Amino acid sequence: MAYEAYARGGDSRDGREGHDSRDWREPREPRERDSREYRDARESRDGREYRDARDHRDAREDVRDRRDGYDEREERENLPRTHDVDENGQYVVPDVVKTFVAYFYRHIREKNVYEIHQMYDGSWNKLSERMFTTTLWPPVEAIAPFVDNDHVFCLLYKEMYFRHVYATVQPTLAQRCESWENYCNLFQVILHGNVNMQLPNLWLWDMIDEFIYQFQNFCQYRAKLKSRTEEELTALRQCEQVWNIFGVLNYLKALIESSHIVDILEEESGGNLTFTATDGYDYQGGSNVLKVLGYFSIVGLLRVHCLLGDYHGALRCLSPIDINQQGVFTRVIGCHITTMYYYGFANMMMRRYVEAIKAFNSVLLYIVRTQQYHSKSVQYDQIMKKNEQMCALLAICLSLCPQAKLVEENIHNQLREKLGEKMLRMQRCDEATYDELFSYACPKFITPSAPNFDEPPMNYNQDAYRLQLKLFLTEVRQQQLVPSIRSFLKLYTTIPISKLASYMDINESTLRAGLTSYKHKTHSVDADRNIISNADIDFYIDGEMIHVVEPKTTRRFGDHFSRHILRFEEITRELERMELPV
Amino acid sequence: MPGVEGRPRTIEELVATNSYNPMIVSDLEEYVMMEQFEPEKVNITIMSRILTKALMAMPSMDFSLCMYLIPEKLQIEEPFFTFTELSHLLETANFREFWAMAMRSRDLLEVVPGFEQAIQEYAIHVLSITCKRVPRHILAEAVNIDGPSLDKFLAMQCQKCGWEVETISEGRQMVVLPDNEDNNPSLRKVQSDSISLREVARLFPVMS
Repeated sequence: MAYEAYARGGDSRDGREGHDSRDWREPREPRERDSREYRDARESRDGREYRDARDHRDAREDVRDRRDGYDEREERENLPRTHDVDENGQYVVPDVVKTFVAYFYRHIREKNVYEIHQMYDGSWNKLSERMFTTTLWPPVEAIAPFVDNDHVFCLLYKEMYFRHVYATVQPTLAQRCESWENYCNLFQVILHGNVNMQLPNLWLWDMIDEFIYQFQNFCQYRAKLKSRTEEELTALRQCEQVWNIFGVLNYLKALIESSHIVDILEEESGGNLTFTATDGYDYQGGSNVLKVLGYFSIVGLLRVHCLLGDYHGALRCLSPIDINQQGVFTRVIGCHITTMYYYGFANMMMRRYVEAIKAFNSVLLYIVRTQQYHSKSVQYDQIMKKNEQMCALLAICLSLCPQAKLVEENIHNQLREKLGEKMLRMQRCDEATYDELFSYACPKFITPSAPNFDEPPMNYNQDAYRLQLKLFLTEVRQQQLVPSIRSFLKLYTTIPISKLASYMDINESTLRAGLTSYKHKTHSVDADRNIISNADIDFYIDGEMIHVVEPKTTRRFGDHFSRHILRFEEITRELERMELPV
Repeated sequence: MPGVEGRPRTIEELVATNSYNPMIVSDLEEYVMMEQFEPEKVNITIMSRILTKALMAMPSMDFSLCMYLIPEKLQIEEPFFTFTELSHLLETANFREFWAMAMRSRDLLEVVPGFEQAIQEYAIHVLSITCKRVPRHILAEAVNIDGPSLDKFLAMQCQKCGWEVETISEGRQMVVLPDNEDNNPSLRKVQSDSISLREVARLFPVMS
C-alpha cells in the first residue's frame, strides 16, 4: 500500500491539490510570527499562498483521499507491533518504517523543506509514540538499503536515532560513544561543504541542542564513579576523547567560523537583512545547513559557557546576536527560550539584575501569549518546565533588585500566584528560599575535566552545582542589609546616620559600610564597563545626613494605550466577521 | 584548542607588566577556565596574580567571575581563602578590616604593582556615588592614608579631580566630593514617557 503511494507520488508532483490540507503540527505562533519560516520556504517552491490554520483544520477531511506524498495515517491498520529478527538474524524493518525513511530520503534529496519538516516534526514523533515507546528505532544498517545507502542520510538518521535513544532509555557507554562519533562525522561532512541540503531550522536547532545536551549528560555520567564496576571504569578510561570539552567547543566554533555567520550578522546590523529576512533559508538552490548551524552554535556556545560557570565568556559568545530584536533565534521556540534563559541567568550571576529581569519578562510573556499554540507540541512539558524555572529566576532577581515596573502585569500575577510567599521570604533575606529556588532553576552545571582514575572512585557530579550555589548564596549574604536599609529609606526624606543606626540596632560604622555597600550592590557594570544604577530607592549622604531621593514615578501611558488600541482593533475585527442571526 | 599551548607564557607576560590594564581581565578569565579543563596543570602562583588583578578591577565583577571557575576544593585552601575574605570585605565596604588584612597578606598582593592604588580608586568610587560630603576620618579609613600623607593626597585630589576640603569646626574637616548623578539627584536625567519606534510601527496599520 505504502509503495503504491510512493510510486504514484513520484509522477504527480505538479498537481498537488491537497498540499495545503496537511495537518499542521509544529507549534504555531501568533500573528506577526505566523509560521513565516515554512510559508517562505514553500512560496519559493511553488509560489503558493500560505493559508491560515483554520483552513488547514477544515480541509483535514480530504487528507485521506489524497494519494500524493507520504501519510502515516494510511498504515494505521496493519502495524507490526514487535520488531523481530528473521531466521537469518537480520533485523526485520516494519513496512511503515521502510516507507517513512524512503519518503524522508526523497524529500531531503528534493530539498522539500516543508515536507521534511512535516516528517521530522510530525511523522517521526508519531511513529515513535506508536511503535517505539519501549524499543529503539531500527539500526541504521537495517534501513540503509531503502535509502540507497546514502552516507549523509544515514548520518542524519543516526542523529535522530540516538536522540530517540536518549529520550527512551538510559544510554549505554557504547551508545554515547557512537552518538559522539556520529556528530563528529556529520559536522565534518557539513564543515567541508559537502552537503547541498536544505533542512528545517527546527531540526538544525535540535541538532545543536541535542549535541550539548548529550555532552552535558556525558559529563554527569562520567562524574558518577562510585558504583561502577572495574570493567566500566576501564572502558570509561579509554573514552578520553569522547564528548571532550575541547572537541565540543571546537566543533561549535568551527561551525561559526566556517559559516561566516558573524560577518553576515554584522552586515545585518547595517540594515542588510538577507539572513533574517529569509530565516536563513537559501532560495538560490544553495544549502542553509552550515549557515544556520553556525548561527545556532552561537547560542550553543552561550549555553556551554554557562554550564561551565563562565558567564562572561557566555555573553561574549552571544554578542553577534542582538537579543532585543526579532531574529532567526526567535523563530524556533526551543531556541528562543534557551537563548533567553541562559542570557538571563548569566546576567543574574553578574549582578546585572535589570538586564536579567527584562530578558525573563520578555520570554515569559512570549510563552504566555503563545501557550495555546504549543500546548499540543511534543516539547510542551519542556517548555512549561523552563517557564517555571524562569519564573523562579525572575522572582530571585526581583527580590534582590525590586524593579517591579519592568515586569508586565500578567507576569506579575503569575509570580504572585506561584511564588508570592517565597518572594516575601526572600525579601526578608531567607537564605533557604534562595537556595531552594536557585537549585530548582539553575542550569545543570558540569565539571568538564575527566576524573583522575588513579584515585579511589567517587561521585563528583554535584560539585559544579554546589560551587555555583555557594557563590550565589555568598552574594545574597553580602546583600543582607540591603532590604532593611531600603525599607527604612522608604519612610524618610532625610534622616541622620546616628538615628537610622539606632533604629536598625547596629553601630554607625556598620551602617555606613552597609549604605556604601548598598550603593555598590545596586550598581552594575555592563559589557562596556559602564556603571549603571539599578536602585529603585536611592539616597545620598551629605556629611552625617542621609537624603532619600524620591523615585520619580512617571507612569508610562504610551505602552498602555498602544496595547489597548491594538486589542480594540482586534475585537472590532472579530465582531465584523461575525454573522448575526437574522 | 588553538592557542592553549602558548597561553601560560603570555599570561606570565600579562601579569608581569607594570601598569594595570583592565582590558586584559577577560584574557585572564579565559586562562582560569583553561585551568578548569585541565586541573592537573593548575599553577597557584599565576592564579593568585590573576585574583589580585581581579580584585583591582573592582567594582567590576571579575573576581566573582574567576571564582565561578575555580573548583571548590581549591577554594577552601590558601591562598584562595584569603582572597575570598578580601573580596568579601571590599564588597561589603568594610575598608578598615580590608586594609588590615591586606597588610597581613602583603606577600601575596605585592607581586602585582599598583594594587594599593587600584583599591584606593575603588574606595573613592564607591564613596563618591554614596556621599556628597564625607568626614575626613571616614575617607582616611577607606583609602588607608592618614596624617600628613592624607593632607598631601587631598591637596592633589583637589587640584586634579575637583575635590574641596571644608573645615567645619576646630579639627573637623569635611571632604566635598565632585558632583555626579548618584550623589546629586538633580543631575539625573528624567526618564520621559517615550514610546519605542517598534510600538508606533505596530499602530500604523490601525491608523491607516
